[in-house]
Amino acid sequence: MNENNIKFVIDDVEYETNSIKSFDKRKKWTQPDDRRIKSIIPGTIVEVFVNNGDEVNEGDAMLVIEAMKMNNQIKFERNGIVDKILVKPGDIVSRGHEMIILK
Amino acid sequence: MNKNEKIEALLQKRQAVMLGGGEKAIQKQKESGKLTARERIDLLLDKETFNEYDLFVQHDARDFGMADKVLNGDGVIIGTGLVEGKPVCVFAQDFTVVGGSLGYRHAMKITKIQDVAMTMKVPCIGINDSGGARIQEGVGSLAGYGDIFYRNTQASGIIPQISVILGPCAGGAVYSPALTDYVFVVDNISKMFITGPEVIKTVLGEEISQEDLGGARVHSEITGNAHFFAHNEEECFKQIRKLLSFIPQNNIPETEQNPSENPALNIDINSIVPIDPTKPYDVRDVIKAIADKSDFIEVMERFAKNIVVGYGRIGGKTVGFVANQPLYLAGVLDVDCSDKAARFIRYCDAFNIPIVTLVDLPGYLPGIDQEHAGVIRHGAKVLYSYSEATVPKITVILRKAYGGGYIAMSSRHLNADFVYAWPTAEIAVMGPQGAANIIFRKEIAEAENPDEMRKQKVAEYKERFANPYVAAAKGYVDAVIEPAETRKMLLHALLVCRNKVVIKSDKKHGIPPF
Repeated sequence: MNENNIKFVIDDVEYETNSIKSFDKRKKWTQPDDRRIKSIIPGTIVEVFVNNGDEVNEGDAMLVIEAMKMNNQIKFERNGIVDKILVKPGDIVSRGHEMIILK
Repeated sequence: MNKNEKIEALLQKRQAVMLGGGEKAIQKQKESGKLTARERIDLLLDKETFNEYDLFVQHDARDFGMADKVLNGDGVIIGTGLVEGKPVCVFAQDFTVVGGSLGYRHAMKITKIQDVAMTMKVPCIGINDSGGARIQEGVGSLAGYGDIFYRNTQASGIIPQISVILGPCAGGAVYSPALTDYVFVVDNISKMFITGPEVIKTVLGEEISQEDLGGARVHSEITGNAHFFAHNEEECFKQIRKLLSFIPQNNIPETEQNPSENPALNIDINSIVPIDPTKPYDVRDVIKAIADKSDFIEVMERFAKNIVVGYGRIGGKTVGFVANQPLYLAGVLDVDCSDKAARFIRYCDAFNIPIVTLVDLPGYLPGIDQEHAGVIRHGAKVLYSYSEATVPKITVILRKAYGGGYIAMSSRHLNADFVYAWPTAEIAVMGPQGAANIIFRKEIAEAENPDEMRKQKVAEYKERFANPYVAAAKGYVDAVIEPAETRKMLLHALLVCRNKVVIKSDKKHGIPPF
């Protein structure tokens, strides 16, 4: 056995075995929270339409993100009050980047 | 010009074109650690068997000053040659000629040799080393790629298609290799990606090297896009020649076979597998103890190591081995290894290669990441491909075969032709601990000493169910055999299966859970 030896349990049985890369790299799951709005696409923030404390409704315009040579207007998918704005025009965001948090 | 002068002119012309991009470009190619396209073809083929076609083809692009440009061979070399005396078709992109970029004529040369391969029913090997589309040719080069992809797809399952990535292979260019059967990569030379580091940097601001984004290790260990990894080009071409020695030339059933040779004698098959199902061992040792000369070529050795797939011979005839690997993740089925196994099984089925399955697995891998990664649809591929396969299917259950894993691994229920089990086999709905905890939950909970009771119940369950005889009593296992009898049984089973014919239903094709 080499240094990749892991504790591996299936159906209450512990097996003596080695790990592999993809198993080591597996992502930890976190409870999704729809108040924390993340970018669904990598791109550059062009414009932000809301301010801290704004009351927003589902369908309201949130911001514009330039991605794949297009300006994409992102809308709110739920009602709420804007708690934090984490991006500003010019910011480059990757997919999954947290942009706005609702109360 | 007299006849001799004409011949002399031809030879000179040939020589000039064969220099590709010229001495300087060749020098540059060498400095970047790469061989030239012609050197590569020589390494692939038997000595002096290459016959080249379309040497004098020229592009006919007119825009952006292309009209005045002479591109030798239009950046690609095509032809036929022999590997171990058997014909193959080859194309090799020549990076010294405008970076091996693909224009329309370049693509037409490739599709021409693809067509020859299809008509003659011989393997087609593509050596990729290209900067991508020849931008000056615009949509013409896109058309070229499309023509290649279409032929890759048409040829799939009829002739073996091999892609060798020996340089950049980016953007749309990656999809020809992706459509072929086997992708070979070489450390520090192969680079494959849809969008390169420059684009990623401009769009995302993230910096990554070509090697870390889509190098040989990435594709053989993480993405599963590559099937064979080599440290240098020489090793790579040796691997290709070895693979070609195992796989048939096409999907027409062949009668040809090598002489049968015994496995290397120093392997004692009885001593490989520990009796305790929680202990690891290398299942490749079992394969080597069964295969002729203990010779085995593993496919996707570095990816999803919890399953082993590859080719060996039994009695001189090539078989595909599919084996759970207890050395890694106890041999469980997961998303990646299901993909790996399913594709291999379908390859064997398409090319009339009997499948020998060696079973030792605790089931499917539990976990949120696996469920969310789609272990249901990926795992289903194993069931689908085994069920669909009509080649001889022979299964040997070495040790544990629990639950869904038992069904999936070419069980009798998926129409395996012969199923054997070693005396160490445990064919059960789950491992004894888990089963006892469920079945005897009440007894255990109510016992004065629950731990003692659990131990007793686990032992009881083991005694009654963790063996091959329950399944054998129902006829799901044809024979319980000594490990030492395995090769003899397989030789016999393959002989019995020799005339196996399955009339397939007239559906156009199934809808596998891709």
